[in-house]
Amino acid sequence: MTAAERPISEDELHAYVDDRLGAARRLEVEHYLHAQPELARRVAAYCAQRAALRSAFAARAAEPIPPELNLTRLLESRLRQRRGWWRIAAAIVLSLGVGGAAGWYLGLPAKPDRTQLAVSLLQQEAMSSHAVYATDRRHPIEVAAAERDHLAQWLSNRLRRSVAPPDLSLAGYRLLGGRLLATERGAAAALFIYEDAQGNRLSLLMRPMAPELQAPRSDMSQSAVNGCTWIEKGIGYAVVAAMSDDALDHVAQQISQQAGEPG
Amino acid sequence: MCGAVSDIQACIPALRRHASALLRNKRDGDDLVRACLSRALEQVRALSEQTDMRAWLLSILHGELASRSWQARLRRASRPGGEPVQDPLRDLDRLADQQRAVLLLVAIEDLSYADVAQILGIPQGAVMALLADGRERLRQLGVDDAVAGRRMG
Repeated sequence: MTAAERPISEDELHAYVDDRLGAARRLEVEHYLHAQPELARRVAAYCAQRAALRSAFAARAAEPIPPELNLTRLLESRLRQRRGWWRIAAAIVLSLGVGGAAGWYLGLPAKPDRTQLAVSLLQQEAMSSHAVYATDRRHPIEVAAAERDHLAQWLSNRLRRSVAPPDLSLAGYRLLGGRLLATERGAAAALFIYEDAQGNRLSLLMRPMAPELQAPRSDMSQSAVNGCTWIEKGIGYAVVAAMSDDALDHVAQQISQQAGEPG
Repeated sequence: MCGAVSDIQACIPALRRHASALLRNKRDGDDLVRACLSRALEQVRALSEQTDMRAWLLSILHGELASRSWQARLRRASRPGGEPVQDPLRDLDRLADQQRAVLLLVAIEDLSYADVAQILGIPQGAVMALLADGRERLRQLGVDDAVAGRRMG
């Protein structure tokens, strides 16, 4: 069949510009345009437009996604607002790869258990707090290590739990100080920030948890930092820093050990 | 299986590109993407495995854009202000909204004409007409500019 037998429509010219035609039809259009210089100029202009648009916006998709578009954060804020929270909570747990799921698409996933939910919130909170505060060179803390007792007293009062910054000097970290954090439930949490000899920061988040919750250590990592969380005796712990697995083990062990010591 | 969330996440760069191109302003674009994502999370149960995630999200985005509050912002977006999108094709601003939307979805997002029709909730014939009109309008504007440029030079 030749082009003359099957006239080329305006729609097909656009499909040609957008490369949506089959090879044979494409060739027919090309032949046709060859014989129609005026039309060929118009189609060439459309092709140039398409290329210019694509190159103008090509880089846009490669830009880093700002935190306010972080899906996990959006899910969390919905979690705070909605009654049907557990469906959303399930999605957080799934997105973090914590829970097993029979299939999101097939219907409602199983209700995640409270421990998984608590751990995933702890992880998110620790990662965000580390990103915001520990990286601040000038004002990472509210109360400095020089006032260690005051810091411990103040945070214990606010958390209504006895909390104190553990000594991590054996692991090579010096306490800078601490600050108060707000949790998604409007309760208080404590953040302690440490620094090693090279100036690398480590953050330790501690927040009260329901007394019956208990979770073994679970590791996490996100871009350049890694860390771990666990829940023990009504307190959730989260350590975040850019460090090796061995160093992380050492730090976690120190914290856990000192938490077990009286007073 | 646990893919809905990560599938949505993977579409965010394309959504941002499209929204900022539509609104000619990255900040407004990101606001629109956030509205779109919130709505998507509400409707996530409507998904089936066959759903094309990007087309689904884009149709939600255009649904948001059609709401009255966004229409007001769209008008405002045509005025200078905010952080302007660096757009060598400023003539895009001189297209009708629907023409611009079709052109961006077809040329940049590379969606099929049928998907574009679905996203905008219009017949495919209308998509083709908008595409043809938009392209021709841009071409005419380009010719005008070239003529004006030659005169000035």
